Amino acid sequence: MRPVHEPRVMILSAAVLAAVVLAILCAGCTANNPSPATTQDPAAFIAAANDCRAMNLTVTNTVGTFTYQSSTDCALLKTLVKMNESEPAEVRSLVEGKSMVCGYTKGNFDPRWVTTLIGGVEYCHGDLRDGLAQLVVFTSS
Amino acid sequence: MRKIVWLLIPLLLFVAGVSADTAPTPWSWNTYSGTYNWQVTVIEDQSACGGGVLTNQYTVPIQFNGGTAVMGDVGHGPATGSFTSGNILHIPSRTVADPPGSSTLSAYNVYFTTDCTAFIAKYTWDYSGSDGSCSGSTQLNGASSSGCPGAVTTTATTVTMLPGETPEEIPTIAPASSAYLTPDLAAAGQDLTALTTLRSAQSIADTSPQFAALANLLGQGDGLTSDQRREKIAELDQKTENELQAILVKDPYNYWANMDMAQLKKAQLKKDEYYQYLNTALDNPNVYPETAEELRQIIADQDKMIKWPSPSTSSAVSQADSEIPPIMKNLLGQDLSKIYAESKEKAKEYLFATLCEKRCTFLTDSAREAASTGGGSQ
Repeated sequence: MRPVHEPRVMILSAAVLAAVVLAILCAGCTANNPSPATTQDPAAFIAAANDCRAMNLTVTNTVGTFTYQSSTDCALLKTLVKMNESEPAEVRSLVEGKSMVCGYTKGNFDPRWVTTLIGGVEYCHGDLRDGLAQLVVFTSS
Repeated sequence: MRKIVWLLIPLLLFVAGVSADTAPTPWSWNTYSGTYNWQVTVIEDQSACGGGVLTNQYTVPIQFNGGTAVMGDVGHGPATGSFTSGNILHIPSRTVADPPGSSTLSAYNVYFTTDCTAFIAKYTWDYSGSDGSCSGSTQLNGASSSGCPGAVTTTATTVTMLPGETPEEIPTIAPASSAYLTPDLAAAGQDLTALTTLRSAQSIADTSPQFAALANLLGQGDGLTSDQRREKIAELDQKTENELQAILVKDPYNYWANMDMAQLKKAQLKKDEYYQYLNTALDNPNVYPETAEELRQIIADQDKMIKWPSPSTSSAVSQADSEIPPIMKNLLGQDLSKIYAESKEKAKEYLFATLCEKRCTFLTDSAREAASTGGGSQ
């Protein structure tokens, strides 16, 4: 005679099984993609990026707040998150909230991507690149 | 006396009308056979080879044989080419002995003026030998005062200039106005815009799949797979190049076509050709400073700017301003500090053209629309 399981027991078993599977999956995900370290030190970030290690950096200067994310596939994501209040609206509309991706080979990270506004931009791709190019047109002659 | 003046005016108008009706057709070098001597100024940029920029003048014969011609020795031996139109001689790429090594010369076009007074050409070269390797460029400026072979006078040399009027330093080959090319330019510009947008997205996908996914989330992606995108890029790449080439055959100095071709070459990662087309566009003395001013106005209009930003009103513009001199020392591997020293306005044009990726073509679309109302080859 086959044992008769109550529905409540079956649901409980399924939930436990799902929790275990989810835990295993999450453990795998975490092991492969650890949360990138965060630093406030540009030099430390440049060293990590140059070594193709994942790291996050936030810098606030006279222009505004920039975030930099390096990845294990030797790429940099630079975003001009917010410009300072003193920046005119005309400039904000060109570059604020925009980002670009810069690729490089291990050991050849261009530090100008972090230390300057427009240095090395010609090797990047994305809307921030175009915005910065347009800023150049308004520089003094 | 006054009566005589009034009598002379209709007579002058009549003569002018007759002259206009009987003006000969522009000269075409591809219909001529014979040897023609040119005074050629050869400017060789050997700065990357430690030799600086050398300028020499030679008398150089060009042997014209109808559809082909042999350019005399301008430093890299004689070169045979064929005409792609009446006054454009195409010299293919070749490798020449350059002891102790050899140099590979790029393909280039020789542009002759219709009044037979000048030609210009520029090619790049890559030297490699036991003593090392380096790259440089050679520019040829040909001049002659002999006129077109067999012609008594030519249209361009008999034009009476009004007081204060000067002939164009770099003349248009043909015709005098490029307004008729506007639809072709618009079509090519549209394709180039689509192409550069696709290329930008693909470059991000190739650089970092992780950030490409993020770009999609930020609304900066196009939703296409890499295979779909590559297929579209391959299709548009050839189409756009053909469209621009067709325009440049008709009007080699066309500013917009040269700028667009430069953008195409930049996207194709053909750096030398990028600079070649960019130089052709920006070396035209009739363009500056109007185009720089136009660019500012277009950007201002598109972004609905009430006031143009400047270094005094924006820290970002001020910072970009201060960064230009060091950046000009190495822009895509070229030292452009000389250009910056000569003209900051021109240097900014080089910088803008090199830094922009997608919106530069969008801008030139608008600019060429504005320019088309004025006509003329820019």
